[in-house]
Order: sequence, then C-alpha cells, then structure tokens
Amino acid sequence: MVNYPSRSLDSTFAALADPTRRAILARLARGPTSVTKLARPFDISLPAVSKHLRVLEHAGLIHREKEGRIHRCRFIAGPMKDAALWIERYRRFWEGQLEALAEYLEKSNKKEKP
Amino acid sequence: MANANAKIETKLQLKRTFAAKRERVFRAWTEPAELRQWFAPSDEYSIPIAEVDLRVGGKYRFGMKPPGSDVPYVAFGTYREVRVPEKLVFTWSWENPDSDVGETLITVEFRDLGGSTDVTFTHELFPDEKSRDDHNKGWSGCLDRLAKIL
Repeated sequence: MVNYPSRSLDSTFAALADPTRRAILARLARGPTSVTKLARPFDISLPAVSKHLRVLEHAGLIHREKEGRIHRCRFIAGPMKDAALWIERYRRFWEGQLEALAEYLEKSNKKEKP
Repeated sequence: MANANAKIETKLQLKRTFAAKRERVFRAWTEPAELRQWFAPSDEYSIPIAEVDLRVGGKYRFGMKPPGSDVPYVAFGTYREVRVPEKLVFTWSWENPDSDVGETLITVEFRDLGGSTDVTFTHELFPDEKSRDDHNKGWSGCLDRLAKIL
C-alpha cells in the first residue's frame, strides 16, 4: 500500500468537500473524457468547471492533458483509495462503538430487572 | 478503477436496534456518566475524559485510553443540532492526529420502537465546504450581534 504524505491527504480531502467535484470524479472514474463533455451535465460555466478540475488535479485525483485543441481528463485511483481506506477505518471504529453500546445497555437492563 | 457504477463515497452509515427505550439510549450518548461506561473500542480501554455541553454551539470532549498507554485519544467537537431524544448532529475531530481527514460531521438519529430504539448513525468524512462556510458565516453573524448587545 502506498503511503501518501499528509499534505497531499489534506488536498485530497479538500478536493472531496465539494459535491460538484465529487460528481466530476464519479464521472471520470467511469472512464476518461474531454473537458467539454465533462462540463455538459453541470449547470455551471466552463471556467467554473476548469476551476474545479484544477483543484482535482492539484490533489492528484485527476490528470489533464492537451491533445491538439482537446483537453482530456482522466481519473487517478490512488488518492481515492486512501479516502476509501479512511471510510473503512471509521466504519470499523463505529461498528465497535455501537457494539459496546449494545453490550452496555444489555448489562444495565439486567441490573434493573428485579 | 474505471467502473461503470463508480460512486465517490464520502460518508458511512450504520443502523442498529438497541433493546432499550429511546430516552435511555439518547442519555447513553449525552450524559458523561453514561459515556464513560461504553464509549471506547474495547473493555480494555479506559475513558478518562467525557465532557458534554449539550446545546447548539456547546462543545464535547471524549478521551479513550488504550491499555498500556499514558495518553488518551481525545475526540472533540461542537453540537450543531440537539433534539432530545431524537437527533444529534455534531462535528468530530481528533486532538492529536498523526494524519486525519480533519473536521468531520456526525448525525445520530433515534427512532422510538416502544421498548427498543432504532439508531441511524452517519459519519460524513468530507462534509461540504458550503455547509461548513454557511455554518461559519452563521456563527460570525451571531457573535457580531452578540457583541453589539453586550
């Protein structure tokens, strides 16, 4: 497993804290495309989309390149896998917490019974 | 990771039913004496810190100490919504993270089933900037008005 330094982790998470950027990432995770095609479903200007793409590129989540006059983007899996790992880590933590709560409530129920 | 059904997951949700009345379960989440009894990854942990100021804008601190360690893991945050006994919304951060996602948002909803309670737990690891900004604006507005009154 590749370890990303925490500075890049911060920019990954900042990049993910926007629903438009998440939607862009979800689209790119399905396959690479041009910026024009990418912008189509969003009700925002092309410069606004470009701004989001710059944030995503800075976070290492996508790669942008020019093919003549076409700007293409593709998804880079690594940082998202780290984000997914965080979610799994927290899921395990909270499953444990809820299990502890269930046991505690059961124990105190038993004590309350005459 | 090219995947036809790719979704960008940013939160987790757990649901669980507890064999206790809703008020009881809600108290377990909000009273320090209760929290000290369960709020840790295992029986071997101790819970030396459980501070709760249960109101919108109030803060909490929970400290869990693993066996053999002098130093607890301390989580802290602010309550955004407090609806007794149905709902809690609070931010969640760690005081000394090695690396971490930063401030996150937790929602706990309690549904009354009579003698038992359905709990839906949501942890939003990447809460939207906009809702964070709106919250910050809301708070600075409140503080400005308060400053004018005092």
